Amino acid sequence: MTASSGQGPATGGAAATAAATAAATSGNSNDPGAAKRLRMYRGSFWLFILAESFGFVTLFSVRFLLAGTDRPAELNGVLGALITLAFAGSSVPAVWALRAIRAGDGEAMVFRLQLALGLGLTAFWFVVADVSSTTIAPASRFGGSYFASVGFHAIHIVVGLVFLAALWSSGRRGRFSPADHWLVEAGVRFWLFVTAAWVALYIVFYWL
Amino acid sequence: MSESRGATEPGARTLAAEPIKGWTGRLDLFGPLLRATLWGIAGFGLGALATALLLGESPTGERAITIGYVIGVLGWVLGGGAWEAWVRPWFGGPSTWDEGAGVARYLRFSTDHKVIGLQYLWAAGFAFLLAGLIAIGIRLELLTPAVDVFGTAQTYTSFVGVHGALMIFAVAVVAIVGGFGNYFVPLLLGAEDMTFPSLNGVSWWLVVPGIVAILASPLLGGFQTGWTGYAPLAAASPPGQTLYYLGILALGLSSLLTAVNVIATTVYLRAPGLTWGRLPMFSWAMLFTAVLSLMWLPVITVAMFLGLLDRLVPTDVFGATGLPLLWQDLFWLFGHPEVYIIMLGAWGIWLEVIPVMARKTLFGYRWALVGFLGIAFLSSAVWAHHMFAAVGDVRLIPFMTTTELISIPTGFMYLVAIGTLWQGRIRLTTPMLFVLFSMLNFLVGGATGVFLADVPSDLQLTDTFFVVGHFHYTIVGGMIFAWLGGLFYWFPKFSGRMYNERWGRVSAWWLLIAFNLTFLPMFMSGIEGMNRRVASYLPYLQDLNTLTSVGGFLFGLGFVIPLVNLVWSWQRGPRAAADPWAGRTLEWRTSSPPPRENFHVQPVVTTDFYGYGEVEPERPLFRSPEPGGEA
Repeated sequence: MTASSGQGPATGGAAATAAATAAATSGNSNDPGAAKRLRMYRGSFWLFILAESFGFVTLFSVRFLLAGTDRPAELNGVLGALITLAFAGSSVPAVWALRAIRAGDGEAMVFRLQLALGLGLTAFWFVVADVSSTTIAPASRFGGSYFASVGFHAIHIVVGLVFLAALWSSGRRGRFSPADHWLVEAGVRFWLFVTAAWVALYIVFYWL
Repeated sequence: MSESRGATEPGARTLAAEPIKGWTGRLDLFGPLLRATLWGIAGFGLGALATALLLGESPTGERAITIGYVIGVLGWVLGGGAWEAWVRPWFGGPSTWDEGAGVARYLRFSTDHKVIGLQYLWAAGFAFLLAGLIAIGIRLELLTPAVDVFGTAQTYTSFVGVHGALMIFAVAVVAIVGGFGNYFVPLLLGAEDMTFPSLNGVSWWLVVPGIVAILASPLLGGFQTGWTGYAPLAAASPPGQTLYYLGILALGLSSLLTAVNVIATTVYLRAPGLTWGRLPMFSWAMLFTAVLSLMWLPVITVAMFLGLLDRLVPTDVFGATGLPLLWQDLFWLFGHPEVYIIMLGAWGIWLEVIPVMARKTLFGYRWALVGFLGIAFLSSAVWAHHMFAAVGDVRLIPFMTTTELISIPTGFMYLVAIGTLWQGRIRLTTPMLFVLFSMLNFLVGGATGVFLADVPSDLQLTDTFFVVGHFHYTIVGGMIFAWLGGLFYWFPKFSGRMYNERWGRVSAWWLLIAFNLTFLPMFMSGIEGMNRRVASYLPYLQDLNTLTSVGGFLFGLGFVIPLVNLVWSWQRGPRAAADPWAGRTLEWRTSSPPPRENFHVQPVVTTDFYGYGEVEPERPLFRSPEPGGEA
């Protein structure tokens, strides 16, 4: 990691106003190698997302193959909606954390990551509560695909939370700058993917 | 990243004997591996115990073992050095990892793609040796019609499963892609390293626990399903089946990380002037392999995950409630592209070695690309031909058609290879011999595949030794021979030494003859009714089985020659020049072995790599078939 400091507007407090300009100027480093590297990291990151998406598509196909569009009455729609809300709520501060570091506001990033982590943990807790309280039989056709999909997604939640925690921890030590924060971007994007995957799961299992 | 001491020595011999003095020297060498093992075992124990306490079950139960395995793998990866090199800096801590020098580099976490490539090669070689020894055991069992060597038919089936699972998931998909892919993709592209060196390092550390899980499965009763893990037998199998799922999940994750790295490196890190139209054949092969892995590995990952849950929760996705046939679909959705994941790299080696050894311009570069592309597309649409005996009529004809169609792009590989050989000044060096033999063997494998793609004959031949013969011809005869060819071809590059040419040729001929002696009789015994995965057979099949067994023993013995040749040459062989074959691809434009940053000066590509003379083959740059002497 080559941290070239002194790039970007290091305007401590006024993050909200700087966010708009930072979004436009992000990656406008004077070092062409850095811009190329960032493009490479972004592109490669999509490969991971693509691969993970294939996994979820397979799982969702299994749901329709096994159970058609059946939905058992035992499905806890309220808890499902709560999980979705918690994920959506958690991705907002995550995106804001990325904006903060682009504007050079490390403290705001750490605080927003903390918010995202808290809401993410809440979502995870709801998922655990749902799986442990549900009366859906695992050995049923719907149950098999439901538990597998939620479990597969839960692995992604854990990875995403560890990633956010790592960013929070190294953010507190001032490791990121507007010119060098690819890891923050990757963590936030992964967390957005976790959220999007849950929303897809919610639609597939709770609505259709 | 802290650069290693070894990085400063461009000509450092990879196996140079480090001065090991006393305990501290040994600790320097084996310390990380020892710590990885300790952390792995501790993680496994803690995870299994905690799960057992939480669920009130036995610590040797399948759930406890699963959780223990996951935590044990984490401990192993971190203990090997990923903690200091990757995870601690990720959390904002200091990065204090020393990647070591000499032999020590291979026994610890590394971010150098060349070290990782060799780690892959020795891991795959080790798995090949072990699974090969099991094969010798299988042939001993089949030497007589009765069950006598393994004791019970179940033990025999378990070891057949371990042999298959290791050979496929830890050798065939790992040896070329993980070994040569990691080592040579950045070199062929003129890049300094892979896109994500740390992830690349982690990917190898996942291979070892994957191998260990599959190897350990007989301790838990083994798995009765063979390497394909078919439901619903898997649900009734002993707990060893759980280790089968876990091992393949670990190996799959490792391959996925490699795939992302290979694609990203090829797309983003090509040297200036290295346009897509100039990309070397082996790079193309690795790129298509990686794309297939990226698309289809998640499918088998999900299949293994579902299978695991069927045993642990238990759900019943592949049982009587669910769809047992779904397992076959999900397995082969990956499993058939996987055949090409295995083979594309071998074709890449053919098309790298042939122009260099025939001193002739690669014939039909674009046809080879069309072939790669056609295979990548079609291989994703042929999976149900593994299930002809199980699926409904409606799927028979479409899948028969796509399967037989795939021989057309496969034929392009032969078109390009033979077109390049035609009127070339062929140097019959060891790598060239292995490539030619790979072409010959794969031809037999492909031609017998037509009978299996054809529904009426497949319904007769399915689950017989005809099938076993067919896929051994493609995978062993095609891929392993090409792998050996690649090993000899690139040996001077990664060791800096030249192997013994005479013994190399002897091993090539020995292996060809013994290979055909082993696997050719399988077609006949298969047609006559010899079933696969069964420890006993009727006495009328005795002669063919004796022939196969004797051939198998000779074949196994034959691998001692290249092993001794390469190990001995690595230490004692004559120094190799940077470009001993007078090749033109970029890996020959740097020292042997290459320095840490691969090229001291960023190479710039101004022409394609295969222009050896359009009409007349180029004159060899030297007369001697012993290229080691040239400098």
